[in-house]
Amino acid sequence: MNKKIFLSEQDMPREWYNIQADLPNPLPPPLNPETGEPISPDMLAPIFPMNLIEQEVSTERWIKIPDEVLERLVMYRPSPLCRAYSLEKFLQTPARIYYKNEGVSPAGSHKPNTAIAQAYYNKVAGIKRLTTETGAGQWGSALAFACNQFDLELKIYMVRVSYNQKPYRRIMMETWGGKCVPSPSPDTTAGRKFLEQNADHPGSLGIAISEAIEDAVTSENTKYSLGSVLNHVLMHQTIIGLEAEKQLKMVGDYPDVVIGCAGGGSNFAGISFPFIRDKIYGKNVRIVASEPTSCPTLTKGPYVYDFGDTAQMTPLLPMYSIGHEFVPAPIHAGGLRYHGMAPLVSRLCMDGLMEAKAYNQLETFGAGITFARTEGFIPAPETNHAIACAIDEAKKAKEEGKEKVILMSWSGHGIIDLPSYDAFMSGKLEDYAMPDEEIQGLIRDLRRCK
Amino acid sequence: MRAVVDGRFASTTPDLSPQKDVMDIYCGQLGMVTQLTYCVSMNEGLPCRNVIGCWEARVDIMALLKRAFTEEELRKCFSGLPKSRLDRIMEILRAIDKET
Repeated sequence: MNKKIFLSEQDMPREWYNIQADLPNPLPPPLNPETGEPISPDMLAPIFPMNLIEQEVSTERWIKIPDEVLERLVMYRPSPLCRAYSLEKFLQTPARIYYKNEGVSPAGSHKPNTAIAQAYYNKVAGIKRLTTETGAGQWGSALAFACNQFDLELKIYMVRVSYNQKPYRRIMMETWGGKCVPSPSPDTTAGRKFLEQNADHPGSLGIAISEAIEDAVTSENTKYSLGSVLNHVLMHQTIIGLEAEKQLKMVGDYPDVVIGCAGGGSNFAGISFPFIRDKIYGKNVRIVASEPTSCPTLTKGPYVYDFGDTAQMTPLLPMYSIGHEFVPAPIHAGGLRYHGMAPLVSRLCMDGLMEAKAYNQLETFGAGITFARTEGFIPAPETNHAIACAIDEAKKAKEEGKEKVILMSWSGHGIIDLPSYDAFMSGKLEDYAMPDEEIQGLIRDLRRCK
Repeated sequence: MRAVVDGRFASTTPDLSPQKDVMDIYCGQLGMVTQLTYCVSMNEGLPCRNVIGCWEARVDIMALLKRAFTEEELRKCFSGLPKSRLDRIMEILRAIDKET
């Protein structure tokens, strides 16, 4: 029995799968929140090249992967599909667990799959320079690698707190020729505004996005690049699931359940969309997105500020939207505008074509360590969500005595995320009843700083 | 109102000693471990929109927020539904358009 199932380079998919062609309920166009009118391609033209905007709205089922993109993808693709024999043995499960190892890319995750495509389309549109934002650098490093491949300049606005605390991904970005600056930076109007308020501002992803977009709009031959959420980004990732489909066929298997971690939705889309297509056309397959309990976008809705009573005396209430059934009116009107989650994934969830489960950080790091101690590879913290879910499914198969086939996306390795594992293993992620004196101290400091 | 110290605004990040800020959390948005201090102050001195969901299982975050921030500040932080990425992009583009 082979541990790894390899697809030859010649058998690598030549087309991306665009799920918009098969949606039972088409995705409504995104609306301009100011006017309520659909956002037109022209409105996105200042930040994205027209060839990518065309992909964003395309309903063509298959879109050819250009040869120049395939030439770069083949540096690490097809990625291996691995059978997790040791994990199965540890769990004593009759389930067959397969994981699609996207950690083999130069940047260590699935993100180059779209970074390469986006860099290429910008290049052929005559763009010379890209901008983007990054938190701890996962997306920034993927795009730096891709821009280097197509000889594009890249400026990355990295949230300052990450820039200071996570130097390794910054070094990766710079090694590939990207220019990485801490955000807020003095290079943009948005950045200067925050620096004037506080020269040591720790930054946030929101500020970094503002800076990257401002730079793209105000600089010549420059566009902005985004690594998740948008339809074309998700489509570029479908090569993961398309390869997995072929690899499973090689060993005569088909998944009973497909699992991916869901943050912005791109990795989840990558592994699952080709199988959701099968489901739409009658196949019996479960699709599960695994997300953090801390930021649930599919299992629950967001917290909003609301008054709990008509007298408006309750100052703060969490108002979760309840799973798929409850859709707050503004979300419905705006076309499934779940914060942070790709609209396509939200649509599929609402249509019942997939389900979602939430796991807390202790469960996920525990699952990651189990994986590392059985299969050897140390997963990225995001990947741990998929592993936690796969372990749950495998345990359920054991309870039911069923030979279930589980396919999960192993979205990236965690070698540059070792401080997170250190925090877990040293007990710093544990639940903890904060003593009142510490709460008082925190409140005093916050008030002093306001 | 922020205090003015040495001719400029004081840091919006509370200067907590490690003894006070003993808990870490993995922030999916940043992709790294961070602390409560950052989560309650990163939004121009106000909390991150996700702070309740992230911390509610670990500390009485609601009580902490109510004691540390005014109702107006909490309203500013949490009112309405969060914006999608595309909404945010459009908002930034409009703001740039107005400024130029």
